[in-house]
Amino acid sequence: MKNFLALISLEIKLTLRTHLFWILAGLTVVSILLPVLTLLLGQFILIHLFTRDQRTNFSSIMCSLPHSSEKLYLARISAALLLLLALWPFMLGILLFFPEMQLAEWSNMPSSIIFLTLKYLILCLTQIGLVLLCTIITKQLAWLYLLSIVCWLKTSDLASNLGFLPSFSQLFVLGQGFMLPSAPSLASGYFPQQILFSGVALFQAGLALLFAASAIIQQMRLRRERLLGAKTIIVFFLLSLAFLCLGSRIALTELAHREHWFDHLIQASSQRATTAQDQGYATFSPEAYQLAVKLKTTAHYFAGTARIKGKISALPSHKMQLTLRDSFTVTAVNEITADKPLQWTQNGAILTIYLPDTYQENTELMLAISYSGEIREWFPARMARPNGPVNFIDPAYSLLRSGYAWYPIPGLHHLYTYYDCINPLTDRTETTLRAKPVLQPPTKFTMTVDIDTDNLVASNLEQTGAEALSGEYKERYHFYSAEGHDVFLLAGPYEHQVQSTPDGKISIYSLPLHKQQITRFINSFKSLYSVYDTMLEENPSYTVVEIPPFLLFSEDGQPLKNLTLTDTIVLSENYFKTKSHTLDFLNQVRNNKHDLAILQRWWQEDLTEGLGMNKWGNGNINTSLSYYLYLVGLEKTRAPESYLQAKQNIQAGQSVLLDDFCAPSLPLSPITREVFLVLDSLRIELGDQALKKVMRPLYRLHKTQGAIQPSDFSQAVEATLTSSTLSPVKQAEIRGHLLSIEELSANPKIFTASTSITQFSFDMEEYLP
Amino acid sequence: MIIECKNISAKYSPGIKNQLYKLKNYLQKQPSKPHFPYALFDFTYTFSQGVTILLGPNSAGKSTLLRLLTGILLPAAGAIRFDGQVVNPSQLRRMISYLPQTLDLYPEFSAREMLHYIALLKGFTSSAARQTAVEQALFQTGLSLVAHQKISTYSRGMTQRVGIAQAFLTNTPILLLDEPTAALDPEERNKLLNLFTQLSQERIIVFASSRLTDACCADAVVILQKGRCQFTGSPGELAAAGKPSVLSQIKERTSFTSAIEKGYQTILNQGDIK
Repeated sequence: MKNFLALISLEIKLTLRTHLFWILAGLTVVSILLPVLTLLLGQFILIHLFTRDQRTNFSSIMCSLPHSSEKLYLARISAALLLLLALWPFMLGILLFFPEMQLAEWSNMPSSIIFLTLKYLILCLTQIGLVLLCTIITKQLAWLYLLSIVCWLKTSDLASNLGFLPSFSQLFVLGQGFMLPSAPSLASGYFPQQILFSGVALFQAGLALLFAASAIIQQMRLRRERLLGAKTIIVFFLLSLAFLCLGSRIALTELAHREHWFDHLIQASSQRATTAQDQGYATFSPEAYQLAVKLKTTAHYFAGTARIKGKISALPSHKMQLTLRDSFTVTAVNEITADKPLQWTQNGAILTIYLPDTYQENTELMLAISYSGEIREWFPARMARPNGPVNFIDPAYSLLRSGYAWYPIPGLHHLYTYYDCINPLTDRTETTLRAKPVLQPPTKFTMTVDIDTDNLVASNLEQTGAEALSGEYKERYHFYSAEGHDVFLLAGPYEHQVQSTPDGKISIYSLPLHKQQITRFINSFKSLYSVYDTMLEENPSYTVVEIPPFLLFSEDGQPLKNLTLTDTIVLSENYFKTKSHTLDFLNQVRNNKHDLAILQRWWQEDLTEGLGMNKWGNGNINTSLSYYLYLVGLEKTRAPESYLQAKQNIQAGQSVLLDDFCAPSLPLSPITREVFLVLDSLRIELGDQALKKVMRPLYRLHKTQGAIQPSDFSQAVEATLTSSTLSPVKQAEIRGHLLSIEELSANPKIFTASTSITQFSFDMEEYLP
Repeated sequence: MIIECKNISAKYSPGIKNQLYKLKNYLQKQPSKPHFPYALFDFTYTFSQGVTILLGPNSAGKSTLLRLLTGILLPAAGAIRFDGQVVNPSQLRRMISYLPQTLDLYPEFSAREMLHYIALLKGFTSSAARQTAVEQALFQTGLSLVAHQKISTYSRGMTQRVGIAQAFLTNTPILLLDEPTAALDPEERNKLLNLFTQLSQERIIVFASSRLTDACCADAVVILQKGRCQFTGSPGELAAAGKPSVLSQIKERTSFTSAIEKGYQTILNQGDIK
């Protein structure tokens, strides 16, 4: 044993004395900012280590020495692993102490750091296995580097596009995507990903052992050593077999479960009728909601009782349907006034309640629905939206999204729409899902949330109080809104403060580490606020939430922005982690993110989703309205020339690409083009008031129905045109654009996904504030 | 111990040597001769205790023979037996110490560290024994004072001495050295040859050399030319090969050396005629 350790020590000493190692090590440490490079540079270090004999020609002596190859290889593998692991603290240091940035919130969470470290360990093992496999093929240095680069490119390509691949390939590819020590946004293993992670980690470790054993055997064969006496090889093989079998079983089972669940959702979505009335169910108009929620975060458990007061507005039959996400199980349905239980059935996301025959139309009804469930939802990466964490209850963070029917919503609603999409890798048309917001009209809404941690609970409802509890739950939060709708619930280690705006107030949930940056945000916000002011609604109130990056990234590292938190400005934690940057363009990048976040609060559309013409088919009006408002804001506050430049590009039919790093590349679909030209004409000819006249009703509609239809847009524009002084020629031109919008909407293009190597993109907008 | 080589042959590795051979013929404007594919052909000899020197011009097959003896190369024909037995490669490596012709060590190590590393690979189980062996090898090769310096700072001769030192680390019964005296100054060369003489009491030492004067310390001489064995015998027999009566007339080493040179040239000339 002493000799073995002495050998490892000499190997490490030797490596540390080479200049090339230090150069590669330095680059590897810095590459944590572009995680995909870590994989490549780590391999270069290993190639440098494992080909030392060939490089120095020491192999001419080595081949005559009586050592056992397994012992030497084991020593070298151990030395390599220790060297790679020694880089980790420096990588962590870079992540934690990035220049001009404060610490990330995850640095407070030991579990996140442990998890990241574990991921990095698996990555190191994977790299060692991969390089040893390459050395079986060749020991020529140039060929090894070339092979390594080719493998890396191919793997990165696959990992970036794993959403398009069938399950079996995902097993390997997911491993690459998983095991990259990527942004701390993927640090914490929250959801069923934990099961998948353990399966993939085992699988990769097994592969690494198998490759290592194969390389050792090859070397022993070359030296004509006896294989049977090599106990380590036998152990390696047995371990690798065990890991491979167990890991693949866990991961494949989980992947199959997800695929099955996904297919089930697609089937269920296609089978439902459009409205309850079509099937002859009673309709119920809620007047008040009272929601009592209990969160047992360590068990990921949700229990709730929804008390809904309303009237039966139509009674074709004595059956009533409500929509409740199928993660939840209803346990009881009672009629409060009569204090008696009602008969009910739950089929997936449909709750059917059987009303007594005594009930008539316009009867007041007060329902109490008790429901619960273990909430850990994760959407698989199959061109679906959202992609990544959906709803979850967890000790660190809990999230129940707006419009996701996590409390019973009267009526039959689709949770998803399914749409056809061309898989770019197979060129086949596939069906995938997009979450459809289940909108709940504004009504009086009261909510209490009991939680078993010290986390603060945020919602788009106004927090009216909090009290400490004894026993199982630690805190109770009270919320209320006279016109609460599409409620979300977010629990995290937040601090809460309320600040006044000229017309209302702004409620801010920030992470304690970054509360000093709130003032900077408020000042920046006010400058944009002055543009939009009351363009969309009177007396707007705002909620601002600082979101940890893990909520903004999907499992394959793609940034997500459609977090769907009603009436809330969602800003990435990165935004709050620093004051001003030294480089001005970084400040501009940050300002753009801030502007987009504010816009998204209104329209809940990811403006940067999809690039270039026809990416998302013909586009939609919500995105187009957001885009136009963004350009107006840009013109008035930061970059006046941007509006004109965008207009020129639109008129020329080109993709809009504003200044690099100063503004994101934005989608330019045909509908966006038409909407822009309409609104531009109105604003230029009639001023900002005309814009307000169009936006206000559309925003109200958006609140109640979500997507703006072409007819809604046409109506709003026509109302402005009718009372305007625009010339008939101009009016005809605008009407022409409206007609185009209707035609384009009536003939949607099938969406063609495109592949990319997203992990290459140093997406400054997401990674830097 | 004895090493019996019976009709062993080894072929050239394909590729570069063939191309070089063809290029050489082309440049010399010589008609293409059929290329003799064997680096060593039909070699039969028994190495016994003492110092045996392998002589011959470049590409004679000296290094090939040494590599066959180390087990690095497998003979294409024939057999090599150690004390009458065929030995497997693992056992063979424990019996031999080898110094290759092209010696490269880890330049980042010092001589002491390099020898410690090699000693670990040679299977020293005790760190004390390893330490002793390393220091002794350094002393024998005169490197004790510079052992702490990195090999990258060494001259060619000093590096060669480190290579020799690693061969002396263990008391293996067979020492195989390829051009050990290359790059050594005359004083060092003599010291090394005297050391060979001392060590050869209980060992088989086979070393290849292109210096005829090295034959003075040898107990046996083998001359190879173009892969074939042209002469085996004692240095005296080699000296006499040039002029039979010279053996009785040799009084001094220098005369003996020049006699050896003459004998060597005679052998090679005879080989060319064949």
